[in-house]
Amino acid sequence: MRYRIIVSIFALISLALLPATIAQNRGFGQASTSTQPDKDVTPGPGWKTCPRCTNNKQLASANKAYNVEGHAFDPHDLSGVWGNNGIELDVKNVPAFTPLGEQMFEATRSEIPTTNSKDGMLICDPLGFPRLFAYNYGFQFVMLPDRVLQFYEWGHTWRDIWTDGRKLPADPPQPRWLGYAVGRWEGDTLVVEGSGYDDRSWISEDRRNRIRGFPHTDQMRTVERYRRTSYGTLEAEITITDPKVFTRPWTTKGKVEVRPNAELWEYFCVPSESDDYNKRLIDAAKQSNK
Amino acid sequence: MTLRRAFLLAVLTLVTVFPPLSGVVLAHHSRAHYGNEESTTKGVVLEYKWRNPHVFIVWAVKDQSGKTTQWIGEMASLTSMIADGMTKDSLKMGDEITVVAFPSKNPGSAEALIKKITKADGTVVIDNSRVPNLRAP
Repeated sequence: MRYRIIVSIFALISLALLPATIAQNRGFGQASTSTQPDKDVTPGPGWKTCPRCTNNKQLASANKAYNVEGHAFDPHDLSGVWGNNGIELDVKNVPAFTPLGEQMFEATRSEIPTTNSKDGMLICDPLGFPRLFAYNYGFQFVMLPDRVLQFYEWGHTWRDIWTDGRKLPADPPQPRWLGYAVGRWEGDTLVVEGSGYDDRSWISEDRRNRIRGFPHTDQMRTVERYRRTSYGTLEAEITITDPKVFTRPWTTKGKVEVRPNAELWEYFCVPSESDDYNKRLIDAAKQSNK
Repeated sequence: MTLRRAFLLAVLTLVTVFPPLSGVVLAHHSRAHYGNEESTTKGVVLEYKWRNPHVFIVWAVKDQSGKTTQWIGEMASLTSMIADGMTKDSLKMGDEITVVAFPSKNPGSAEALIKKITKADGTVVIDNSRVPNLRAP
């Protein structure tokens, strides 16, 4: 009997903690390697590192140096550099497709079974939103009186989240890769609504096997919810709705950690570099799959 | 239930619930075309491309018959490699290196996913234990 009780307690603790653990692993951390340096690699004194340039050891040291644990914070100030890898979409919870959605999903199928030959990333198309939510190498919030700027290391780009009370455009004059975004506070949660997306982008590559991408139409709408639960932690949630593609909304919850010693670095997708890489490495992969 | 059994159960539970942080530095592309067999080659650096999307090197390997093969091997993005201790100055043309890598499954291919590079003087340039994770979809 005692054994059963103890087993039950452990099982309950496991179930209760599992979602948080998955969320943490989605957005944070790097496994150690034997060559990882103890100290940050920076351009010189006074210069900071980049979110992904920091390994776990360096991050622990930075968190200590900047007194991240227990540091005072204003929950309405989301300023800072967050995470190093985006928040991977919850692919265990992908909604069923509509018939059109299924057709669009199949159209993204790669011509080869390993690397997705149809991924616009290979030719430096903008990732768009919400792919940048899921894949960004770290992002930074800057709070301004009328808007919040969200900068991304990947593509070295940004989007404006307007907080001045304006509404989303009913019929935007031009669809945009990053759409149009407006934000408001609900208690301590910044709620961001987005629409007006260019349908050429993918919601994300399908990380279950990387042979397809999740498509969307210009009817896609997104709702993000950001809540700073401590100085060092930002909870982030996104709900993607596109009734033409999915039969229900698709929600992903995760969290990212502050990078207290970080500066977003320059990650441009450079067509000439990607072309060289594709010819020399991706084309070899294509050959190996013939 | 003995204390030892309870302790073992607790350890098993924690390991299941809190796996080590891993597998989050995801590949730009799938690595499924690389095999699972490690190969070790000695050669000379011909190119060191310190660039995105993935850092790669080309190195020349001479076999016993004197025939030279040019291998090309990729790693991860610049910023991931910096975290692993590599910089733009880690290698230069002409360096003699030993490379542990996972070659492509394609017979006759000289393309590989790099795990470890050691210089002739024993300096370990990179020892990337993340490679098995990087290969996963």
